[in-house]
Amino acid sequence: MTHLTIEAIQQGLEDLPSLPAVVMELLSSIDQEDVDISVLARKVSLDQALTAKTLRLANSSNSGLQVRVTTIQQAITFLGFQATRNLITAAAVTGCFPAGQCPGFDHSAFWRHSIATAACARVLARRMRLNQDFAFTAGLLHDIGRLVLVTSYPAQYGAVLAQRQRDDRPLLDVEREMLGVDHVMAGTALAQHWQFSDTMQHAITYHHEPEAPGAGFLATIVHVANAIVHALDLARDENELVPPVSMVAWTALGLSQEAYLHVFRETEMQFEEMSNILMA
Amino acid sequence: MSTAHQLVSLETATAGMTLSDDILDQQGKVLLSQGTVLTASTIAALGRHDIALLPIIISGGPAAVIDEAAVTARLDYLFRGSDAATANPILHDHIAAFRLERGVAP
Repeated sequence: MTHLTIEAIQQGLEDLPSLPAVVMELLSSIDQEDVDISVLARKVSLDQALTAKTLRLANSSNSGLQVRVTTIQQAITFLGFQATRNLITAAAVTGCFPAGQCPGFDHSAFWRHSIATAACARVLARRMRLNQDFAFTAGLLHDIGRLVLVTSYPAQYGAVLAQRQRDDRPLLDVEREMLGVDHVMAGTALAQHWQFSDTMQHAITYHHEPEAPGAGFLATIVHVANAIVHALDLARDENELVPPVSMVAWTALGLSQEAYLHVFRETEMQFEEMSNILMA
Repeated sequence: MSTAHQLVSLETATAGMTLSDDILDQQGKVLLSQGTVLTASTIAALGRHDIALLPIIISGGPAAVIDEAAVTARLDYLFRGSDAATANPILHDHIAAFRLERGVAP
């Protein structure tokens, strides 16, 4: 198989389905404090499907709301801007890429894994007293490069998936061998294209090598969350395989077994409810 | 957790229900411990701590039976080929404790 180049992937990004403009704005402003919330709320409200999904998430019991919200502005008032932005992002990206183009790629399993990783990363971040919103979004989007490859190169990626099944090896290794690029590189390219902040880009770039210099702690959180979700078997993928978990990352979190048992339980609780809404 | 439980949203929780697990606050501190019987005032207090779902013991019915052999076999499959130099063996043990509801080793 001819190897792909990162330049070709970057060019192909233009042809990918685009997120609603307002979601791009939300994602690129994730670490800005001075965002005009009311303007964003109005823009989101123009997209009815997005608004409906976001409000269902906001009214689900794991958001902790005691009242029903019926507008984006209300959701922001009761849940806060950061939390609402997470819900909008989750609602938007899960509906953005078309399913069924690449043989052997299970779209639902992909999103189940991503949603669960977002939930788990948020739970871990809370334990570590770190920004839960960054963790949630990074967890949700950590494997987004797979969708880039699936959408831009469905036939080639289908071959990779078939080979991965035959060899039963980590996906990353098979991607590199057969394509010359991997989903981490593709994800980094998309994160740049979508103008994610450096923090978010690094989390995507280093989620398989959290011990790399400059990786940042968010990459450590996503790395461990990713492995936990594989181990919890939440994607319902028959051939599920737990990837290697860096001892450096594991030690950096420094959580006890008791803490992990709580993390597992909270992750499953949050995942169940979120996936019911997002995968509907 | 060793009993059958279900998740109940705070809105539908009623006094008299028994917690099947500890309830933690945002900082991970135990607010209410496993086995606590809910009262109207504890339910109201949980609302103030942003707690939305409560693990409640299912009374009456038999506790769910865990097929230990099946759980162990699936875990071994998920962790196949794991390298001993990684944290995978530790994660495997934690997940096994979770799935088999063994709780924390003394």
